[in-house]
Amino acid sequence: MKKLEVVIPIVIGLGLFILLYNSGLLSVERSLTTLAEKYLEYIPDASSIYTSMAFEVVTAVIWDQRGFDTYFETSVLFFAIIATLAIASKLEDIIGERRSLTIIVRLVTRILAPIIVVVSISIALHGHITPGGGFQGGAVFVIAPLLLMLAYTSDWIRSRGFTDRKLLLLRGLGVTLIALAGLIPVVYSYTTNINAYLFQNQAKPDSFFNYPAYLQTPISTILVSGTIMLLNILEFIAVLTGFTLAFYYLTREFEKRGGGE
Amino acid sequence: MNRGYSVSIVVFTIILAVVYLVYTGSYGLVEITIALLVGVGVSLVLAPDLILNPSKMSPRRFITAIYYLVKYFTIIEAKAHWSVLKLILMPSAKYNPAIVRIPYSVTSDYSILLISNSITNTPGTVVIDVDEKRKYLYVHWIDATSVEDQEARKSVSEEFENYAYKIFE
Repeated sequence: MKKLEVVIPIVIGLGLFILLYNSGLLSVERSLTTLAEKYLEYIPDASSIYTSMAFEVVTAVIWDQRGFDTYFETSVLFFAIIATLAIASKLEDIIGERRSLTIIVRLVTRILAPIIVVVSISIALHGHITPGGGFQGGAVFVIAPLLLMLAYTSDWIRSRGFTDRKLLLLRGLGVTLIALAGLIPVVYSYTTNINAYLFQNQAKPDSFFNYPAYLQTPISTILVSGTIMLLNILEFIAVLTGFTLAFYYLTREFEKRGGGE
Repeated sequence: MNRGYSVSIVVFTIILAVVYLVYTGSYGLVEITIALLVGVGVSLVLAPDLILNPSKMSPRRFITAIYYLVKYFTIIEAKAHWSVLKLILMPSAKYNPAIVRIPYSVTSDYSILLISNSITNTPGTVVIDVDEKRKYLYVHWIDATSVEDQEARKSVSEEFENYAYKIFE
């Protein structure tokens, strides 16, 4: 047995090395694909027409792609929420009694909740320049209401005035506004006869429709990267309300099952 | 809305704005404005849960809290680590693990949290349950020197409790 403990890691290590060596991943002289080269060359260059003004290559995808990406990822979640609501609406609206958690868990949850919310807002607002964005921010945000609901029962969220109807309204509003924001270039194109595409954000060789990268405010200029910041904020709202709703119904259901404890 | 409450909201706003700025990692004027707005918004919704008694807010308590934090994370932690290290490394060490019941007399939620988290965060002792009605902490202790309530309290939580009185009571 002792021998095996030595032999197995060596065999796995050797196998990995051979695989990496043969696939060329260990070689220093690797070349980039043409698309990657184009990305690296034009995207950080503010004078280029393809620039996205981002400091990090991770987020330096052209803006138009991100618009599509935002719309479809939020639509997937939207349908998932609809399905959850359809199931949850069939179930009875009773909040079961639960044995409450200790004071330690309850107080720590209350302390952590505002910090989680603040961090999630930062993630959502900086999606256009750093990794993150509306979806990620929303997914982080929902941890706060989920923890609070687990510590204080699902009643917590309703006692704060965040009823399921209000959340659903915000959710629908977020998704609708994202879709409408994507339609602006199309409407513009039809009304002015200038070429523009769905979710277009930057000028193209055959279309000069372009959102401004910077927003002038009395204090200073804010980098908004066209509609990306707006889309991120809208998606943040859509995702956080959607997830909160889903967890609200799931927690309520969980409480009913565990009720009478 | 009384004055103490407003001061508490302002303090929360500043703390949350600092969290936002540190997380974001950029400190421009726009960023600070957004941070303060976010801080105010989040405080107004969530801080009422955390402000239990606004009249207790005072600079002296803050300074004591900072003093305690520094002392806890340096001296108290180092001592606890050292004693557990000895248990681990000495082959002849005799363990005497036990679950002890430790009474506490503080009343504020924050005090209970401070004491129990201080106990758990030092190696060797872990709080496993709180009895809020009878005011007991149940603590697993890797090398219990006594299983009697008051004796155990003296060696596990007395120092934490004294600071909890100064900071939160």
